[in-house]
Amino acid sequence: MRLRKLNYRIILISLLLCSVGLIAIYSSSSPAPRLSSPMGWRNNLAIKQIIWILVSITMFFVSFVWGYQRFLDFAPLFYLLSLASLLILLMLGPVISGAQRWLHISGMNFQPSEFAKLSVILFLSRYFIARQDRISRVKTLAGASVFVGIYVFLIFQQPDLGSAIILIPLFLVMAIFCGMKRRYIIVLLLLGIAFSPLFWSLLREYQRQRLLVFLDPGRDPLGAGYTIVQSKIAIGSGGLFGKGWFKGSQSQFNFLPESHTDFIFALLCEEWGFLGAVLVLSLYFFLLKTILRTAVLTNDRGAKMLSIAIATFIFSHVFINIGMTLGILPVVGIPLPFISYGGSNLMVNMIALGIVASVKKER
Amino acid sequence: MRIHTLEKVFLGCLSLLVAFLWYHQIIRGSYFDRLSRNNRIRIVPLMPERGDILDRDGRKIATQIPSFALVVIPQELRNKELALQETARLLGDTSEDLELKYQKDFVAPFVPLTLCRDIPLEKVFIIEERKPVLEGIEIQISPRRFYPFGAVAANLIGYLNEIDARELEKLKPYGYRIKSLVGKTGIEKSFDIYLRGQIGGRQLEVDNRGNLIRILGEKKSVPGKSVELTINMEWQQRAQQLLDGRRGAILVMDIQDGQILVMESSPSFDPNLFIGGNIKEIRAVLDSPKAPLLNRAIKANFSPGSVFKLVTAIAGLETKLISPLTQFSCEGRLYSGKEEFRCWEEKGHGYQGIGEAIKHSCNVFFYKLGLELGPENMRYFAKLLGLEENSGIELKDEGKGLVPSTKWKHVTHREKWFAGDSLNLSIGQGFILVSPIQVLRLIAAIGNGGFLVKPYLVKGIGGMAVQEIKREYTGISQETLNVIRKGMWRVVNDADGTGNQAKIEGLDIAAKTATVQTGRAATHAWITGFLPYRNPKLAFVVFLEYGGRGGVEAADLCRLFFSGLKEDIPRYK
Repeated sequence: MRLRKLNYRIILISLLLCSVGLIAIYSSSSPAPRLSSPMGWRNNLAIKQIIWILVSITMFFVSFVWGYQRFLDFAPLFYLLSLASLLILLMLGPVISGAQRWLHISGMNFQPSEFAKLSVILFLSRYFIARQDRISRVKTLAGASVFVGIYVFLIFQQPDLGSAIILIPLFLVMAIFCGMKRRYIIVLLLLGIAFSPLFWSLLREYQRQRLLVFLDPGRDPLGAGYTIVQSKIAIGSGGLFGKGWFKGSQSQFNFLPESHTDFIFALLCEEWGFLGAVLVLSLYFFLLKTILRTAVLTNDRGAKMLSIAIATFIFSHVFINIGMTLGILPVVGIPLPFISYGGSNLMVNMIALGIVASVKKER
Repeated sequence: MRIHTLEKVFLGCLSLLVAFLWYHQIIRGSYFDRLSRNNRIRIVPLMPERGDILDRDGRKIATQIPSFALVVIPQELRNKELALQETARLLGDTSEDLELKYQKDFVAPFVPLTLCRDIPLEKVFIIEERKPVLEGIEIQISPRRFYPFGAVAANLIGYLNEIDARELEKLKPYGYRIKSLVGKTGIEKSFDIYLRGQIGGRQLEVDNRGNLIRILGEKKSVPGKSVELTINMEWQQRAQQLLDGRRGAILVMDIQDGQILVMESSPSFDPNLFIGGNIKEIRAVLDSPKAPLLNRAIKANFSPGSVFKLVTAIAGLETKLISPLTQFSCEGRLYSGKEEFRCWEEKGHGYQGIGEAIKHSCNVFFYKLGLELGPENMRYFAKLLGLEENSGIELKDEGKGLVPSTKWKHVTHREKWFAGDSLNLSIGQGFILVSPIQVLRLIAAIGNGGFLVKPYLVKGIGGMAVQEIKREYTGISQETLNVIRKGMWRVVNDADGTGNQAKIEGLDIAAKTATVQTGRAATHAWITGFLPYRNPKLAFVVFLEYGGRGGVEAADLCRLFFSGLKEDIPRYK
């Protein structure tokens, strides 16, 4: 009974966040009154996003009905499928701004790495639960590392730094909740630091530039540092109340790049101010709280693990994305859940929420 | 680890984000707000049209003419390479040059940048025909400074050039900016503030690529005011032709109110050269040993020679050391200690009064008078007549010159004043330095009854009369002046006067000549005076630097100049 109430809350908050996203995308895609500009694409993005939202709501109910247990049952299959799609993408995917992330299937662009993230969550949950009695063996940890490692390697090849980085907090939180010994986790972190030069060499030039710019923002204000400088100007100039809908000069006149996708939070801050930004952050917090509440209320280990993982998954996206627009984290290219323009991420998030919502049925 | 702890971690991290947002949006909000405004607002200047410079009869001495410039509007270029290649072909230039220029001058996509100035009309037509191919390239008509008279009066009018760093620092508060054309000398410099007008501007809103979105505001430029001079360009032109590139100057002034009718310094230069002329030609002007940019009319680098005898004479009469009847004898030489001072007439002039002495320009007479007067008396009257001070004419860089005194000699030469110094000063040789315009004032004061006038060049700005006539009575008595004037009349009109060659029937000229020893083989030649003798109207100075003898070259030049104006002069006023 209490869980049903939580489900209403989940759907309500996620739809509120989607609406915030629509408002921002609409503002971002409205062309400024330029003297000569094709007016055709006006509203296009917002309308597309509405279609994505409708599709995602459907997916929410599909996963809700299907139930988390089946997701866990099919986890290895999902894992293999997503590995396969990542491989296909690497072989024939088109290159968009230096990266192969999208797959065109009959007019729709899919971003397999988004789905792959979910499959890793499912797979890891199942893996850890199945081995909970021998969780503190090196073999278990090594196995989990290999499964995640393959995935990270493939995503890295695209290259999609953000989707790879997201897995770090996810892996840690899941390992901790399975009762893994602290020292293993510390060893793992040290290993990660030890191998970071190798990691650096795998990065592409533009990614290195972004990381360097993060360390020294004044390094290249018109090149790699441009986005972050413009993003900070957009956020800061919003002030307490913001400049108002369609009034954000940074985003309206395209000073702010990617203002409908990765940097949409900067647009929100510019047009709706500090108050708007805090409202959005509060919505996220209530969503996370609700998901974690589900984890508390269920007795099923799988459901508990999945809920915690999904909450961490959404939180990591929110934190890294906003940290990046504020210039306190490097620019790695991670969307803001439910708000950024784009179907794949939204669909994955809604499926994940559907999984959380389905928890009551299994009780 | 408990779920509750994880929730706290989430809350902590999100609060951290809120703290950063607070810092950015509230604490530093106004700073970022200013940055966002600067991002999108651009100001493009609108240049005003420069005012004309007119002569006394309204002839245009400096004006604006349309000039065709080839400009590119970067945001309208479809195919930059192709357009530049085609333009290069039409202009007979290389596309690399144009590309280079494009790179160098590019400011923003909406700011037109000039590729080529002063395109001849026939090429303008060709380019206009090719317009469909040359998208983003336009012929722009813009005003350009033009001096129809070329080198005539150029030293007086001045020239324009780009403002330099030092001037910019000084003039920035008055709206000058980098690359502003600014008057460098002459009237163009002195009256720049009126001529230039007020710069206007458009406030534009632009997007991230600098593309124009809308015009937020416009302040129209205010065209510059015209400056009307007292100069008579026909006379000026005549002076230039007669000087014919020799070093020197001809000045003519209204003897009563000080308006300058002619102020021609020679050699001259073509000020049009400095507007988009080629560097080599400009260099040639700047480096010429004859210093064409020097306005000799106001530079006080010259000894007055015998012209100064008039000052000595006035001093003698005014101090009552001599009367009009006093006579001194001239034996052709005078000894001061062991040093011999000669008269130019070796045989000597014998006994003569002051009138005769002026007529003959007898050195010995003035030596003797100068000795009696002493340096301080001569200096007093020299200063009374406007030497060693600025004439007050509206040109910068006027020279003050020098009238030596015992104290001055003591300070600068660490020597006492010798009697020989007095002898030299009495005939305007030695240390004394004057400018032609100072001589002009001095001679005008003699001609007009003792009034020292302030010479002026500008009678109106933008159609409004601006000059109040300034003249001060020197206190020199009419009796004295009558004696001097009579002597000057005899200089020209007596057959044995030194300036007899300047005599013109019908124009009653009175004058004084001077041939100045310069320490070199060549002498400076002066003739200065007024006309007509009765009821004088004009004062004049003819000066030739290293140009021969006052009574010959200068007097000839004077005669040639005024004889052509015989009909004009009575019509003046």
